[in-house]
Amino acid sequence: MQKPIPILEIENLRKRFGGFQALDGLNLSVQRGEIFGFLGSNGAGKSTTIRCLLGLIAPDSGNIRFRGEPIRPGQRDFLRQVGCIIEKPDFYGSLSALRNLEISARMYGMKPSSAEMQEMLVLVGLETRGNDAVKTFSQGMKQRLGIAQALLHQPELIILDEPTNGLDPKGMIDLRNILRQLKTELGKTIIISSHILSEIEQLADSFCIIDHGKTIAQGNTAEWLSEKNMLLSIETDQPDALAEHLRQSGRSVEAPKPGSNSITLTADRSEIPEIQRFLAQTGLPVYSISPRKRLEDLFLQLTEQSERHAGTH
Amino acid sequence: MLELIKIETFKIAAKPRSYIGFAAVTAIVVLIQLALYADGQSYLDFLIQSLNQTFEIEGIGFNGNMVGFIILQTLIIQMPLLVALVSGDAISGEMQGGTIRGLLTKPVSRSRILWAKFAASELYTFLLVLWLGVLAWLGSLLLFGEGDLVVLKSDSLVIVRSADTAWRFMSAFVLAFVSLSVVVSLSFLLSAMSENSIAPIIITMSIILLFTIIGTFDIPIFNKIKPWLFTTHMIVWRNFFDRPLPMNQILTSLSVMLFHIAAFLTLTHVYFNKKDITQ
Repeated sequence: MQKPIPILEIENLRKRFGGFQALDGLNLSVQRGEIFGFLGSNGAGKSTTIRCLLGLIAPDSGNIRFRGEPIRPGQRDFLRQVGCIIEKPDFYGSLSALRNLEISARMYGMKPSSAEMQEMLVLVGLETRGNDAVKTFSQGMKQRLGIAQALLHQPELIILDEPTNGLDPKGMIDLRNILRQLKTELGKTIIISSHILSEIEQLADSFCIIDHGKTIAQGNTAEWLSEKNMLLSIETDQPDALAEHLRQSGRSVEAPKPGSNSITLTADRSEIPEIQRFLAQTGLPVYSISPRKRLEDLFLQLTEQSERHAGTH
Repeated sequence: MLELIKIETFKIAAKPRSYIGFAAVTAIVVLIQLALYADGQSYLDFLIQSLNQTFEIEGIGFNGNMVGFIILQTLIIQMPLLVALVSGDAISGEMQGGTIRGLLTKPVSRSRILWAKFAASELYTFLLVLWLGVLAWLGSLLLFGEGDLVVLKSDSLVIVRSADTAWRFMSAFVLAFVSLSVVVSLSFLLSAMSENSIAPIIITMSIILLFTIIGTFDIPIFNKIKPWLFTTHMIVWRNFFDRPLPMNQILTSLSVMLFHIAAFLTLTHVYFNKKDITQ
């Protein structure tokens, strides 16, 4: 079966600010109708990538394809298909929510009716605040209004850069619910960049992790977090000796951190009983075996590997 | 494009600072008119006392044309600050408020956004000059009545017949608008370069002040650059009240000011189109 054409592909994107290489050959691919988590530490290059894509920053080189067609960063007909919030939604504070929506829609050449704008406000739960000045809104309400603004022109692709910044727990839950609704009910493709990994883990169908402006992992969230390649944390008094035993048996073990009383190894879930038997045979004290497989672990594992790799070059 | 200009005009209209200019013009004009209405003759006597030593002057009384001219001469100095308050904020205000990100991710080119903002700032400037004209000239005509305009110069005086004043005032206002457009385009350039809205206003006024100071010194090196400073030409509107009309001087000044507008706008266009929005 032929692989579906990704809605968005970025290849070898590069951007340098003075002496700082912000993007260093970044690649990513987003499928239609999915929620795509774009992950990286602060300064990894997430915002720069999104800004390059939307034409706020001119990349030095790289290719972007939208629905399989090459596009220039910030190309007008591409922007027409994109709704976005960059970092935090900002509005003309002295104007009402409805007036802000109207101004935004007019920039797309639309003249939305009051009913259409009200419909958007209902979607994000702001139907009673349409006539209030935006400066009276909380950060969470501005975030929701930002989503309404991003959706008003019926875009195919929604890009949210750090949308949970400044949101309280309730605001985060509200936002998560709205994004799920957008995907399931309206079939939107959503790219969401964040460094809050638990949020992405709950939302994203697939993800990409970047570090130092490079892609270090990309794939389907469920597959990556499946029972394969789990991280096992083993608590022991003698981590170095135990790590050595496991290495000799052909297992992939991370070097124990100095002063730590645990070691970490990678294994499939089905291998855990066999590992338990092996550990017993070594005669070394083992207090617990904890399988861990969360996006956070994966992220740390991959970024640490990337740091080590960068250090050797 | 018209839609974009409408949006930008609406944004200007929605900002409280946009009304400072109109409020200031109204307050100053009304204050001067009331003061001159109450005690104008002694002010006039003071103005012509040096000429009285040479000529015997009779029959000069206050009228709307004279009051309009005096107000225009006084207020035109403050006008650059009032227009820079709005035009200096046009781009930097979007930067400071963060709305620039939303604005530049709409399917509209940066050039069109820039021109729409410039057009809206120009419209604002035009309305402010128009308001000044209505209040200072037409208001004074209503309050003081018509009459010949006596323009006092350092070494002479020019009398312009009442019937001959309307086109001169209107031409002066047009030229005042052009000179304020130089200020608009300069503050626009600085606005594109800045990320807060106060800096362009302060820098614009500092440049005007610096150039004006250079213009007042009669030093050979300054005299060489004076003809190229836009501030030298910003007072050319006064020439419309001269006889004979110094048309060459007016056209030269107009050309220099239009050149400055074109240069500032070209620089703004190039800079803004290349600017990375990183904030």
